[in-house]
Amino acid sequence: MLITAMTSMAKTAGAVRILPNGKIPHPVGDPTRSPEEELAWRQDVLRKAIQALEAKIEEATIFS
Amino acid sequence: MITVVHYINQFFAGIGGEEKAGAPFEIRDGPVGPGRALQMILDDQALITHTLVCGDNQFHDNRDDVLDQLRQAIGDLKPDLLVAGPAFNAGRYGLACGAVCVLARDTFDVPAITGLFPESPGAEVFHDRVVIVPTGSSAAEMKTALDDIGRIGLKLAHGQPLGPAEEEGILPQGFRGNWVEAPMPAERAVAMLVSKLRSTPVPTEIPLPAAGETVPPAVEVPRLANATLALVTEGGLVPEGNPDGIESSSATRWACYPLADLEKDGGARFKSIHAGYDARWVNQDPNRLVPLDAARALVAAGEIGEVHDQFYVTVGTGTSVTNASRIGAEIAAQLINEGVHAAIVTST
Amino acid sequence: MLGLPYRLELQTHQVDGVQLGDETRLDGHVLWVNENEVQGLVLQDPRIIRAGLAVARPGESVRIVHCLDVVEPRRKLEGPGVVFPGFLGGPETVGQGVTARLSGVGVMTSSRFPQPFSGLLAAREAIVDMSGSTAVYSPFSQITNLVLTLAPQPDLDNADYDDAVRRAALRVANHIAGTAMDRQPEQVDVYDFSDVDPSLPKVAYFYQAQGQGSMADTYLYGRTIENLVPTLIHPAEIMDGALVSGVYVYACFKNPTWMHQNNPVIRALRDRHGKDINFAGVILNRGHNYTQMEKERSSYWATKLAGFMGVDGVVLSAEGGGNSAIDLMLACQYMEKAGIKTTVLSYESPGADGRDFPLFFSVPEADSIVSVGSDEEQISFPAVERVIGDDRLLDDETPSIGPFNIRMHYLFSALSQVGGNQLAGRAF
Repeated sequence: MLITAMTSMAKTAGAVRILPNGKIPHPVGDPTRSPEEELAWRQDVLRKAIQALEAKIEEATIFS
Repeated sequence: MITVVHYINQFFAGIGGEEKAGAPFEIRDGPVGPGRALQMILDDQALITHTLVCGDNQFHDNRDDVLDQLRQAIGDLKPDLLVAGPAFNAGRYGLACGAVCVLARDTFDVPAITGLFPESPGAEVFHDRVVIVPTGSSAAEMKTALDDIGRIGLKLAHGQPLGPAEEEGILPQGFRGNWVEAPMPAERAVAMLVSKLRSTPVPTEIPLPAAGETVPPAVEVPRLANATLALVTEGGLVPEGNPDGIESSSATRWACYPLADLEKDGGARFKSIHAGYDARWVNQDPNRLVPLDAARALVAAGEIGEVHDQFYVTVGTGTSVTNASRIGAEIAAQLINEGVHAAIVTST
Repeated sequence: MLGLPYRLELQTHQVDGVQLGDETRLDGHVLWVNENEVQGLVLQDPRIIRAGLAVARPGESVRIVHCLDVVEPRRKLEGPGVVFPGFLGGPETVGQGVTARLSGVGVMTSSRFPQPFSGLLAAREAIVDMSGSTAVYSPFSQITNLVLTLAPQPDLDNADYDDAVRRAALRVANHIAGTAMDRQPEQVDVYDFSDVDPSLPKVAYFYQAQGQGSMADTYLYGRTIENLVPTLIHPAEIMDGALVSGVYVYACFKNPTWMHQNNPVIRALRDRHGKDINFAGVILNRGHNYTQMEKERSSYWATKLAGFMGVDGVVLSAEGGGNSAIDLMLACQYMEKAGIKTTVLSYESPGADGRDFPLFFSVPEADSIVSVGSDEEQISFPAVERVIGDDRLLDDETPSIGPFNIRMHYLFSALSQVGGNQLAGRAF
C-alpha cells in the first residue's frame, strides 16, 4: 500500500490502498515530535498501514 | 538534385488488379503510374529516379524476401526521399507502404512519406513511426494527396524539421514538443475563457487522458502477523555515492539495499538524491522515509511476521508513467520471487 | 491614503536602445546609463563587494549566465507609497495615482552565491541567450538587459546576500526610472475596473506564486508569503511592484519581478475589460502547500473568494513544478464544482520521447488548458561571441561560451506559467 501526503495524486496515478500521512518531505516522519514520540507515532502509522493491507476492498480506497 | 524513389503496388503500376496481387518485386526506371503526376508536382525540385513495384499479396506472403529486396534496392539507390503510395483505404497496400517507409528511415536514414486514409489499418499501425499524409478513402482524391505528399516530402528531403501535425497537415505521430506560437499563452488563455463563457468553447491545448485502465486491488493479506513485509520508496534514499546511479529525476533505474546497512550509524551512510523534495528531514533521520525502526518494533511485538531484509528505492520526480510502471512491475516480480507478501511504499 | 475608485495611470516611456555614457538620461528612445553612478548605487550595500555593468541587446550573440532576477524600471510620480513597497519604502498600499515605467529594458542581476547549497532550495544555473535558435527559451531575449554582475562578501550567508542583491536591483530600477520624469509618455494605460457592465461576465485571475523558503520565495509588500491564505489584491498594486521575486530553484518555471510587473494575464484581462468581460480582481495564492489538507484548504479558500466576488470565470496560473500543479488543479476543480468556469495555464512534461502524458497532475474538470510549452530534456546551446556573468557555468566545468547541451530547467523563465513566453506544447 502507499503512504503519501499527496492523496489526489495517488488516486490519479492508480494506487489502490492509500494512507494519507506526514508531509511531502517526510511521509512517515514528524520532526515536531521528540525522537521517542516520533517512533511511537510512526508505529501507529504502520498499524494503520497494516489495516489497509488486511482490508478487503473492491476499488481504490483512501484509509485514515 | 533531390532524388526520389517511389513504391507502388501492382495495380498502380498497371500490371493488373486483384488477380495480379502476387506480382513479384521489380525496379523500374523513372516515374510510373501516379508517379508521373507526382513528378509534375515536384517539377524541377526533385527527380523520381526509380519506381519500386510489388504485388500486395507478394509483399505479405513473402515478407522477409521482399524486405530483403527492398533493403538491397534502397541501399543501392540511396534516394534523398522515399515516397510510398498513396494507398488511401487499401488494407494490404497501406500496410506495405508503412513497412517500406519504416525500412527506409530506420535502416538507411532516408526520410519517407506515405498517404493513407486515417481509419485504414496502415494508418492505425504506423502513425507513430511514419509521416503519413491523411487522404480520402479512394483514389478519386489522388491529386490532393500527391500535392500534400510532394510539399511535405520536399521538406523532409531537405532535412527541414516538421512542425506540429495540425500545421503540417499530417497524422499526429503521438509525441508532443515545443512550437513557437503567437499570441502568447496569457492572451490565448483569456481568449479561451471568454469563448467558454460564451458557450462557444475553443479546444483545449492539452487534452486530458482517456480514463485509464485501473489496476484492480490485490487480494488482502489475511494477517500481517504471519506475513513478510517489504519497504519500498520513491524518495531516492541511496548509499553515499549512489552506486547504482539512480537518476535524481526522470529515473529509469531502481535498486535494493540491505536494511542492515541502513541501520548502521543511524542511517548516516544513506542520503537522498531525489531532486523534487527538500530532503533535510529525511537525511537527518531516514526512518522518516523508510520506516525501519517502527517496522522492527512491530515485528518484535508480533504485529508483523517479518520485515524483508532489503528495501527498494527509486526516484519519482519527473519519472515517466511508462518507466514508473515498468519499475513497479520489476520490483513486484522480485518481491514475489523472494517470498514477500506485502509492501509499504512511501512517496514524497 | 486609499482613494476610491481605485485608479492607477501607468505611463510607458519606450526604450529602444541602451548605451553606457556620461549621464543617466533618456534621450528620445535611447536610455543612457552612467556606469559609475549605478555601481555606486549598488555598492552602497557593503554586502556586495563588486558590481559590473553590461548591456545585452536583442539580436546580439550574447549569453547571460547565473541570472537571478530582472526588474523593470518604474517609479511613482503621484499617489501614495513607493514602487516595491516594503523594500524601497514603507508598506503603504500602492496602485493609485501615476507611475512611470521604461519599457523594453530590464535591470538584471547575475551572481554566484557565497556559500555552497545542498538540498532542494538551491539557486541553480539560469541562462538567457539573446539571439539565435535558443533565444526563444527566455522572454528576456526580447528586451535589453542592463546586467549587474555582482560578487558577495565571502563570509555572508546566502539569504543575507540574496537580500542585498534584491534590494540593489530594486534601487537601480527605481533610480533609472527617474529618467522618465518631466517627459511625455508614449502611452498611458489606466488601471481602473470600477465601471462594471452588467451585460458582461465577471472574470478574476487566480495568481499562484512560489513561497517555499529562501531561494524560492515571493515577496508581497516586502514580506514572504509562506503562510498566506488566498487573498485579494488589485492589479494596480502589482503594477507598482507589490510582488517581488526571489525564486531561483528551477529557472524555467520562475516569474522574475519583471514578469510580475508585466503580468501578461493581467494585461490581457485589462485589455478586455469593458469589452468582453469585467475584470473583477486578482486572487493571490501561495502554492506548494505541504500536505493534501493544506492544498485543499487553500483551494476552498480561493473558491470562496471567487464566490464572494460573484465571478463567472477565472483564469488560473501557477509558478513551479509538479507540486504546485496540484494546488493549481485542485483550485480549478473546486471552482468548476462551484459553477465557476475556468481556464488554466500549464506547462507540459511529456518525457524524453514526448510520448508520456504531459501533465503531472490533472482533474477531470480541467477541460480548458493553455500550454506554455514543453519541458525538453536536452537542448543544444551553440557557441556565442560574448558571455556576461561568468566563464563557467555553476558546475564549474562547462565553459559558458558553449557549445553545450542543457536541460530546460536551467533556462530563465522558459516555461513561465503566467504565459508571457513564446512557446506552446503541440502534438507532432
